[in-house]
Amino acid sequence: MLLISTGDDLPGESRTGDGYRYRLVAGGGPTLDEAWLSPPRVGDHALEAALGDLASASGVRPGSVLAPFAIRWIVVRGDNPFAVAFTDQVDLTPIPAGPELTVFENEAVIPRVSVSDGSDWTWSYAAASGPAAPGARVRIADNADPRWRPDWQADEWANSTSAAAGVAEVATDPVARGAAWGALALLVLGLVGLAVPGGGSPEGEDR
Amino acid sequence: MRRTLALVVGTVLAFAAVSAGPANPVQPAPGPSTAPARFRTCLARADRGSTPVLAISSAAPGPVAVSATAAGSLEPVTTSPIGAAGGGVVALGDAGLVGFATLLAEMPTDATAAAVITRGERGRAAQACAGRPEPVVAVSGGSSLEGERPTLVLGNPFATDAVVAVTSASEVGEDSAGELSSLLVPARSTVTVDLGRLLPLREHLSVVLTAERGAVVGGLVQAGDGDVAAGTFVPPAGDWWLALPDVGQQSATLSFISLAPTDVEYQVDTYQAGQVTEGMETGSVAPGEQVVVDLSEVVPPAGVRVTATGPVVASLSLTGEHLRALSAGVPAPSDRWFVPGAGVGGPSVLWVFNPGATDLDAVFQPLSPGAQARREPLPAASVTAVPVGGGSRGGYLVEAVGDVVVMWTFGGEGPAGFGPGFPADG
Repeated sequence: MLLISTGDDLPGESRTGDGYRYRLVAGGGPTLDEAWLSPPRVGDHALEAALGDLASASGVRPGSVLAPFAIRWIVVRGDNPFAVAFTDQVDLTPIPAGPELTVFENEAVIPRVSVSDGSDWTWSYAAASGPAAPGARVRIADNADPRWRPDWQADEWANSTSAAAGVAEVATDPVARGAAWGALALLVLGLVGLAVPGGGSPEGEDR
Repeated sequence: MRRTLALVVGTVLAFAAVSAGPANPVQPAPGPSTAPARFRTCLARADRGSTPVLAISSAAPGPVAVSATAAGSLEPVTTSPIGAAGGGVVALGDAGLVGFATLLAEMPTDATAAAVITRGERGRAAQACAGRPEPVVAVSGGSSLEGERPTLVLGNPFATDAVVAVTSASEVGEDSAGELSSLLVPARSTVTVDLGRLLPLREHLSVVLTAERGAVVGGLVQAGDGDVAAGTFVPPAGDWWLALPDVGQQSATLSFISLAPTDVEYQVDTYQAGQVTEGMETGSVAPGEQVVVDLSEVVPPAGVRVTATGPVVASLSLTGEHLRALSAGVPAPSDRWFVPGAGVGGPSVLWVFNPGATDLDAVFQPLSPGAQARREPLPAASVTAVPVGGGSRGGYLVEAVGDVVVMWTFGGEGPAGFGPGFPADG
């Protein structure tokens, strides 16, 4: 879901365009970790450029422009360039949402995970699965990240993997995974130590 | 010495007078600042006995995707390539259109123009396509007298419902139909209104569309006496230029409607065979009212300029035996013009209005592969008729060495089509 506003009234952090602010949120409902945005990466820059083009664009299909970013819903608030750009267009269906907001459903949306043979895959945060399709490719509309596998390739700013195995996932680094588990273990031990009566306190040591 | 000084001063004053051109006491209001659009919206009527075609002129090659409204959806019609020559024609006879439809032509560049050309039993018409819809547009030149059938056509190819207020003016002043004060034009649909039923027996009708929500393209289709005319609604400006053609008309009428909130001063000048008649008509027009100027005494071809201190829309209508023709003017001269439709499917005449004090010439390039361009002189303060054959694939590009105005006709001495050129730089 793409949120656009002129004011500083978007939930959590947002990015800045020419005369507007915007951000993406997951379609399933906002989560606490979405309050903060990570530093912009290649896909974020691509979205920034696409929005800049749309705001001043002369085309008539903004939905097609936003579709590769897996944007299905667009919420526009305030008097910003998109209030005009989204009037003379043919692939964003307006949804009545009150006088303060304009909501559009993108008729041209491409799912976050799409397979070149058209098969239907499901996905979670870091994995996707569906019918195995030898020779087909899976496109994942996230910032390009070589940890996606199998057979990762960059698809412009997004990811492409093989669909042959019926699964695509982010492979974690064993060293990083070990370090994360170690840190978690230390944290638990520290908490346990603090929870034991007298344990770890200066008084106990003196005793 | 004194005689020499007087000669020098006299020469300088004379030169200054010629260079400045005719003094114009009415300073025009600013013209429209139209947003760029890589698409054109057009109105077409397809039925038995008529064969509409969409003629396209483009500054860049590439595909043109044409869609049409049909029963609440926007259906693809065809994708037609525009070649390096810059012209293209889409036959709409096989597009499955029923009655009036709105076309959306997605172009390879902003610098394009398009028109729907109709030849058939109903008559001949050239309907200019519009760019990005403007919130307030107008057209003049309608009539609902006995035997005349004016139809308002509103097209909305977009995904958002539109609501428009339709107001009008006639010889009695502001003259609107209450039923049209707030008219819904659903998304991806075309709505027609029989103005002859709502506003009968008006000799001269001007119509204004104000979009309260969404956007529409508007057309006024004027049928009568075996011919049909089609005018496209255009945004207002303070300066209008028109070429009065000679197609055997019995009468020619200039009309314009004021969209200003206060009274507007205006002046009408004519240019004919090197002679400029300033202030042929001057006066003041009240908000929402129209001015009608009979040009029957002006020998065609001739140029007409309307200057107004506020926003107006000016059109030229021609009538004769089995002849109805209508076109809005253009808000500014230019040195490069697209004339989509000229020479498509039959001979046409380009009417080139050189309003300047200097003779010019222009190159007329058919937008067809391998077609030869030709150069024609354009005498000062005159309209020059340039007949062209019927072999063009998308119209003509006119490139003049100075600023001119181009309009065009086909047919005549009977049914005729009449339309404007479009500045070729988008």
